[in-house]
Amino acid sequence: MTTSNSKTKGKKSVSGTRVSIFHLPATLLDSIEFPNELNQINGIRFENTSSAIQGKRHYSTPHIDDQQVKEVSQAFETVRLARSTCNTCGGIDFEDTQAQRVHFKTKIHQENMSRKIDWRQNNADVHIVENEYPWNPTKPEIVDNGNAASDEVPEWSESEDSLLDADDRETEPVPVVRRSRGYLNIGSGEHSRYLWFTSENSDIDQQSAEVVAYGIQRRVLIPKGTHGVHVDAGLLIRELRQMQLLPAVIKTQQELKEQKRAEIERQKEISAGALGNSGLSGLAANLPETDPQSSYWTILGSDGGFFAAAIFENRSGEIIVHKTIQRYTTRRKQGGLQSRQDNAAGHAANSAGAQIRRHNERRLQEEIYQLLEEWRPLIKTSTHVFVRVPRASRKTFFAPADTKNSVLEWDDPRIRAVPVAMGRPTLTELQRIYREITTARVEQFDLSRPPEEVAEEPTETPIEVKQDDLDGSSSDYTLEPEPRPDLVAFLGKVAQMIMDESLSDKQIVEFLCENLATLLDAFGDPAVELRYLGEAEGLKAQRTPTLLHLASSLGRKDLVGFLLDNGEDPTITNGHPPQYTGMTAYEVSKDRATRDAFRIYRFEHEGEIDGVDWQRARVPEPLTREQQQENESRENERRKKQRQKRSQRVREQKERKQRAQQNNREEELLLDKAMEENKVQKGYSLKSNVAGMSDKELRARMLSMATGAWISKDKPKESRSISPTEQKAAERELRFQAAERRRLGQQRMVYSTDNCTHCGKSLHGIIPFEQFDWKCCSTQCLHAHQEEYGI
Amino acid sequence: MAVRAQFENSNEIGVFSKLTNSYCLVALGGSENFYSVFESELGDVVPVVHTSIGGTRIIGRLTAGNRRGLLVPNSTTDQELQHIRNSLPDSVAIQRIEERLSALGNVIACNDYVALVHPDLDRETEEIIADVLGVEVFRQTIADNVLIGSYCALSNQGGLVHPRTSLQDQDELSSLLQVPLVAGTVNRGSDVIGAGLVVNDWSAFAGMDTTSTELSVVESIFKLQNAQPSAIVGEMRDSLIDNFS
Repeated sequence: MTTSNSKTKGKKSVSGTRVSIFHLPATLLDSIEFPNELNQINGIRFENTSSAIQGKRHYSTPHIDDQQVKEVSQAFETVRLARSTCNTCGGIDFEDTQAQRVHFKTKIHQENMSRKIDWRQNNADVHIVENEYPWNPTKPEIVDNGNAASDEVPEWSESEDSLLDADDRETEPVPVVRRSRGYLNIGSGEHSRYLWFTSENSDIDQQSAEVVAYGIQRRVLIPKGTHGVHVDAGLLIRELRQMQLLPAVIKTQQELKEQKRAEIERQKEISAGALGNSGLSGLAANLPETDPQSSYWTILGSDGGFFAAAIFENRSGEIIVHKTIQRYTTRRKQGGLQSRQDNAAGHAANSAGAQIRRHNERRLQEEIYQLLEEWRPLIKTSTHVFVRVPRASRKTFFAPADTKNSVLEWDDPRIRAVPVAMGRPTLTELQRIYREITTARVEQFDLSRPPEEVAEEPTETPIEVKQDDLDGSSSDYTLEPEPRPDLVAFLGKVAQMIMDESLSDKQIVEFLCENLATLLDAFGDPAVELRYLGEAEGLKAQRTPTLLHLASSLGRKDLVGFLLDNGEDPTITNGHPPQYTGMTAYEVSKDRATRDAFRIYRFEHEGEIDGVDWQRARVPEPLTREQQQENESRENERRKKQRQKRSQRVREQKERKQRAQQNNREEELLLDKAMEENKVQKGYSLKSNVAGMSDKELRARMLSMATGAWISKDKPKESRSISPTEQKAAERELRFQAAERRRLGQQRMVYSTDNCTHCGKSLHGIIPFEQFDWKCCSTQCLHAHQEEYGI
Repeated sequence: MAVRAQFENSNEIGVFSKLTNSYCLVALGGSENFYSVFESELGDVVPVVHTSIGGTRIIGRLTAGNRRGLLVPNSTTDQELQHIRNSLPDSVAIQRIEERLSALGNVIACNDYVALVHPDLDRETEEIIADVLGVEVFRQTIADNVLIGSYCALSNQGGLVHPRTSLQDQDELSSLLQVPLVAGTVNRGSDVIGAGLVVNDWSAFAGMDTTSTELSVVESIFKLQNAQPSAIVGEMRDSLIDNFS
């Protein structure tokens, strides 16, 4: 069941995938061909995006909707060919841009254009269908040779005929589709870097005339110098067959882990030994043995003081030795090597920086020579040596011609330029390049349709294929292996255990230790997807696609270290679909302790061989255990302080509240008293009373007057009612009294009988200088007082 | 890099600025924010000149220019002309044009090699454009709009045209200009490309409303992803070495 299922899948995804060039399917190799068609014409697709959105407005007024956005982006992604035409004059095709440009300056064209503009003014909302010219252009006479200007047949059609009819091809010269004529966008350039091979055995319908083609980097098969001169198809195919290797030996996860451990040990020994010995010489004895069953490629890169070299074992695609060197040789901000600057200026600069750079440059070169010498046996066995080096510093790799016995010589046919764009030479960059040049592109071409409509989708995401799954015929281009059900079930079970709150971290770790082999197998199985918890029950797999995500989101910090130890990849992100960058396990951590667990792990395991890419795992800088404890204690202290502060604040608030309540109560009491008095007097003889009231009483009266409570509520109980005029008079009296008191208070303040706050002198009869509640006799006093308080 | 900017509260930064490969003009009286966007991006590569044209701030719509020259309308005062002359590099020719269609930025769209102009432009003006800017001049419309400068933005790397430009016309134009073109919008669907976007070979500035989708189209068509003023040297060097090796 699974096979049939995967078969259909394989068919669909065949286009745009990549397979290793060392392990091409056997069916392909049996009947491999090198078709000329594919290697001359590169698929260019025209997307017909004419959509008529009719409206009352001028048809060019934008009406942006999703469709439009899609169209625009599609039109953008699609490879488009510039065409020298003139639609104003009724769709003329020109020989080349020059003819088109000449035409655009002719009078007839300009007449047609004004005709078109006039027409458009009267028909603002009409959408023109392709190849319709409602403004009746006058066609210009055919100026140049016939087939170009007046030919109604689109140009591609003739080339199409000759492509399909093999018989005609011999009689007629093959018209090559002119690519230089127009402007070709991105995809095609990349295409032409490949040689395309096809096979009769391809599992594709013959009716549809679709071909599956395998693209292999030109530089891999064609040595430099002969590049682009003459391509002998037979030779190419022979070479390709020779390149094939047995499938890589599959090692169990346990073995891999052992190997890794041994490797670490070895590295430690070397570094310990290197301290005693001098430099690289210790390495010579440590060169790995070569396997006669396999072939080796060397990639070297040097640029701006950076050097990287690696030798790859092709059967498994792994690096066997590598070395990167970095030295300060380029001039900061100006760029360029110091030696180049010296040569250009004619005299050597004498600054300190220049001397350092010059020295470094020399040292770098010596180191590279030394390294190449160390690696001599390996480089000699390499079948290809890919080199990326600026022309000026070619001597870095290739010793001058007269030196005998140099490791690399420029004339060596094994030496090729790196055929893909390369950034700063680093190990990862070399690995990327190796991957790129050793994978064959699998694309689907449709020969029945004209070349302009060849279905070709370079934008499709290439699917990386694990090489050990491509064991030839049985795979049938199937690129999606089925995961072992027992492993999936095991991972699901572990997930359930992690979610079970009754189990402690320790118990889970114990369980996992018991089943370590299964766990390692599960993590190492290429068929198990990166986000393997996708189908597990009872958890939000979008949020926690791996066990590590799950463990960290639940704050199981002891588990984090264990999982990382056993090869769980912390760079995997959650979210769906996967290309949307989601969050890494670190980022979904429940609490600080879990985050610290990651950082501590990073501290303890950073710099290991095939270590984790911590940058991509988004784990911040490492943390030692001591630091963590320190942080923790600091955090605790901070929390304690915070708590104290909070409790104090609460206490203060309570006090304040109490005080305010007390004040209120006093005022209320006074108010009540005043009411009582009034009642006793049976009248509102406010006039006589107000003068004798205390400040507080007066304030209470005013307050009750403002709210009206005093009069409206208490009044009706009284036997005698007061007229509004009386009431007003009373109010006025009250106000007057209040104002009077205020004035008096101010006066009292002005002619204070106090003493100077600073010197104690009497303030009688003078206006004091005030600040806050200080009153001073003079400004000097005030300043002195301010100083005392440090203001 | 394509960046967003805003002049006072307007997103039509193409109205208030003019950007070429050898200089940048910005209108007077904008906020410091607006200037610093330009200066931080172009700062030490090309001069950023603060100026008005004929006392107005709509300098982007009134002027046209490229690496070799600058055309200003008749309304430009002598003082302004003198100021611009003093601020621009000596290699840039400046010419005042007597032309009925005085908003030169609206009627001329050009890069360093080709200029597309309004069909009704004077013959003399056409000649002056060819001489001063060193370009081949074509009378053209975009999506049947005569204001060609308003509805497209061109650089030597690519061009963004009115969203309703038919594919046929795009192909035709891209053959004429010898650069890839794409139809698109700026400022969240505005079709007035020239007003919403200014661009040269290594940088682009779009209105603040421009969506990230629009911005990414701009970046790809104008090839701005890792463009540096000196990128061309690096590119050429790489390809040369590839050819010789």
